[in-house]
Amino acid sequence: MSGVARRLGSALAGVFASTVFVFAVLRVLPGDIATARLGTDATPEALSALREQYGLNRSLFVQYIDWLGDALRGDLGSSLMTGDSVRSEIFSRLDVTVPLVALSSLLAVLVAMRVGQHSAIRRRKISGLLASALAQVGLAVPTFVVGVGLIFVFAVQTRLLPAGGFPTDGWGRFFDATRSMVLPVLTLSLAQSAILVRFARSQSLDFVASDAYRTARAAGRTADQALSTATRLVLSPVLTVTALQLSTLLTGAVVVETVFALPGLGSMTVRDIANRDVTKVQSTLLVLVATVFVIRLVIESVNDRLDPRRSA
Amino acid sequence: MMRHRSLTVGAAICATMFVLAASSNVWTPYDPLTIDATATFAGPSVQHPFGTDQLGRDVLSNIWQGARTSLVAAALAALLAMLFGASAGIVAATSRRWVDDIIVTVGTVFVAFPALLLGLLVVAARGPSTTSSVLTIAIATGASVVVVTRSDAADIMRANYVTAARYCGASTWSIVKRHVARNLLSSLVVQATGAASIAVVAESTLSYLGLGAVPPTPSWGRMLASTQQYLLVHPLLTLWPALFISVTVLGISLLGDGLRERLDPSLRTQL
Repeated sequence: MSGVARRLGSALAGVFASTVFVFAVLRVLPGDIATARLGTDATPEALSALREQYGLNRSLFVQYIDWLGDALRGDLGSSLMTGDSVRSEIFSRLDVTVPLVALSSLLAVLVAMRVGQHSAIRRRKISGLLASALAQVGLAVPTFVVGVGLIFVFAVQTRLLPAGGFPTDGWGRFFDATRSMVLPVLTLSLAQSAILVRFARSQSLDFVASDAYRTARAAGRTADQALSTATRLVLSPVLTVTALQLSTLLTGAVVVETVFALPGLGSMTVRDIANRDVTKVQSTLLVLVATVFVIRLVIESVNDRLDPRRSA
Repeated sequence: MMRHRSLTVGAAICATMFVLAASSNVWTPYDPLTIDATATFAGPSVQHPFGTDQLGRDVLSNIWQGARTSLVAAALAALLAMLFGASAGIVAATSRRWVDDIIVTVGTVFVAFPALLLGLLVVAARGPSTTSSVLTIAIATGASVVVVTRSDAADIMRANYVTAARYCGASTWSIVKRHVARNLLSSLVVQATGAASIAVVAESTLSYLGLGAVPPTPSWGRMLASTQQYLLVHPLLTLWPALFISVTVLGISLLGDGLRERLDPSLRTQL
C-alpha cells in the first residue's frame, strides 16, 4: 500500500513541477502577449483593456496561483485568441484523440506480444529473424514517414481508405469515422509496437531458456502452448515500457493528427502554439501532462497485479 | 557474423551521410534554392538524378544539403546531451545525498515530460529555428542520459576497487577520472548513438510540423511536408527525403548496436 502512496506522491510532484515549468517557459516569451493578440497597431487603451480582461497586468506569481487554483476547480480559462472556453475546446477534441491513442496502444501491445514471442521461439528460423529485423526497421522509420507511406499505399494507390480528415458529424457517421481512424491507428501502433517487441522478445527468450519451458515441451506441449503459460510474465515488462513510453505515444499522436489532418488535441496544440495562444496552450499542456501521469499510475498498478513479485 | 555486419553497415551509412553533409559546404550539383519555373516536377534524368520539385529545384542538391541540417542538429544535440547529461549523472553519483536527490528528481521530471510538448514550449518561447530544436532534443535526451549515467556511476562507486582506492587515499576527483569515467565509456558511447538517432528523428519531425528548420534551409522533414500534397502524382518527391531519414536513423542505430556488442564482452555470449 505504501508503494501506491509513494507513486501517487511522486506523480503529484511531477504534475506540480510541470505546471511551474510550463508556466515559466510560456511567460518568458519574448514580446507582449496582448500585442501579439491585437497586433502592433492596437491602441494603448485596447491593450490595457485586454490585459485587464485576462489579468495579464498582475504579477506572474499571482497569475500562476490564480491559474492553478482555477484549474484545480476544473476551470481551464479561455482562449486568448477566440475567447472560447478551453475546457469545452479540449472536450470537443477528445473523441478523436482518445480512440486514436487507446486503440493504437492496445493494438501495439497485442502485436508486440505476438511478434516478440514468435521471434523468440523461431529465433533461428527465417521468420523469427525477419520479425526482429522488421522491428529494427520500424524503430528507424519516423512516425510521419510511416503515415505518409500508408497514405500512399492505402489512399493514393488503392483508394481503400481516406487519406485524412474526419467527418464533421464525428462518430455520428460511425462507418466513415471508423474508416478515417484506420490509417492513423495503424501508423501510431506500428511505431509503438516496434519499441515494445524488443522487450517482449527478450522476456520470451528468458522464458524459453528456463526449466519450466523445457518441462512443458518435454510433456508434449507445442512451443506456442508452452510459451502461452508465460503471457503474464511477458506482458509485465511490455506494460512497464508502455507506461514509460506514454510521452512518446503522445508525441506520436501530435504527429499522426497532423499527418492525417485529424481534428484532435495534438493538432490543436500545434496550431495554438503557432498562434501563440498562451492561455490555451498552458491549460492544454497541463491537462496532457496530468493525463500522462494518471495513466502511468494506472498501468503501474495493473502491473503489480500481473507480477506480484514487483510489489514485494 | 551478423554482429560484425551491423557495425560495418552502420559505420558505412554514417560515414556516407557525414561525407554528404560535409561536402555540401563546398559543392552540390546545383544551388538547392535556385527556382526553375520551366522545369517543375521533372522526373529523374541525367541532369537531375532525383528529379526536380514543385518549384523546379534540384531534389538531389536539397537532399545533399538537408544531410547537413540533419547531421549538424543530431551531432550538436547528442553532444550537448552527453556533456551535460554525463557530467550531471557523475556529479549525482559522487555527491552528497541531497545533491543526488535534486539531480535525480529534476532528471526524472524531464524524462516524464513529453519530449514534443517540451519542443512545442521551446518553440513557443523562442520561435521555430534549428537552434530551438537542437535545444529541445538536447534537453529531452540529456534527461535520460542523466538518469542512466547516474545509476551506472553509482554501481561503479560501490565496487570494491573504488573502496580500495579510497583506502589508498585517492580523492573523489581522481576516482572519477581513473575508474568511473573509464568504466562508463562504453555505456556513454552507446547512449550517444541512441541520442543521435533520436535527434535525427526529432529534428525531422519538428521540421515536418513546421517547428524546426526555417525556410530556406533545406531540411528532409520540411521537404517531406511540402511534397506530401503531390503524393498522388509525384510520389518520388516524397520518397527521397523519407528514404534518407530512415536510412540515416537505421545506420546510426546499427552502429550503436555494433558498438555495444564490441564494447560489452558480456553480450557476446548471448543468443
